[in-house]
Amino acid sequence: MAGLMLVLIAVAIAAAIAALEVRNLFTSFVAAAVGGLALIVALFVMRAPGVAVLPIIVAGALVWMLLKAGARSDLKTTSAGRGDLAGQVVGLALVVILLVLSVGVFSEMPKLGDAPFASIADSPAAAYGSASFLAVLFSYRILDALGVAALIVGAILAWLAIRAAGERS
Amino acid sequence: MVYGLCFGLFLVGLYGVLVKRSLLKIILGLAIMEAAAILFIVMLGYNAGGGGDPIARELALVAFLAAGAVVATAATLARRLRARHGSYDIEDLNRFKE
Repeated sequence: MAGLMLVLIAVAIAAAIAALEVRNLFTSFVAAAVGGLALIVALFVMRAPGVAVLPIIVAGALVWMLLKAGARSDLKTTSAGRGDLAGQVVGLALVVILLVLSVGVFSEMPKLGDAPFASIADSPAAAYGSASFLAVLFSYRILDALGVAALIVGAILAWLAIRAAGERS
Repeated sequence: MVYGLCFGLFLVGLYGVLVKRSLLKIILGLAIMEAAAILFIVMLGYNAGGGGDPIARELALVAFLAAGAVVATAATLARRLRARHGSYDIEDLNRFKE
């Protein structure tokens, strides 16, 4: 347990240093997403999967931006075409990892005996925070409408999964 | 040891905030600091509560909400600044104060 946490935090530190030091902003985004995934797994390991719901949504937004903006000129990729392809490949890989993590988090919740499921699932704070986060990103055109719609559907599915897990436990 | 690594993660974020010139990197540093603090709270709760303290988790949840709002707002401000002045570099932005 302690060893796994050491590894996860070491990965997060390495990803953080890479995200800050790499000149290519696209690579920096990827490193930040990897660090975020390490954080989600660490929260999961520490039996706080409920807390990991919001980082999953935030990481989802980051991944969506990666998918959409992988080739933009302001990301300073070496070649627009390669950047586009690399952005989509890396973004898709991260989406798969996020999905696997999400399924793992929600399926393990009842076994781990997480904090009151109902309070998290019904918490207006979580819904309000996620909605505000998405609204700000959308209103300033950082996320497009399709990205917001995808994340809202994902959040509703997550909410339903948490609620179902709470009823089972 | 794990707490020390958590503090190390916080220091990496602090380094980004203090040293980097790009607004995006500074925001990234801020997010890293927030993540390190939240991880520390959950870790303390896990170790103290013998497998997870609900209060620590709720506190971490609220902290994540605040952190998400801060990062989203900062990112949008940075984007608007770039749209207006054409740069994420804080040295360039300092020129507009004169």
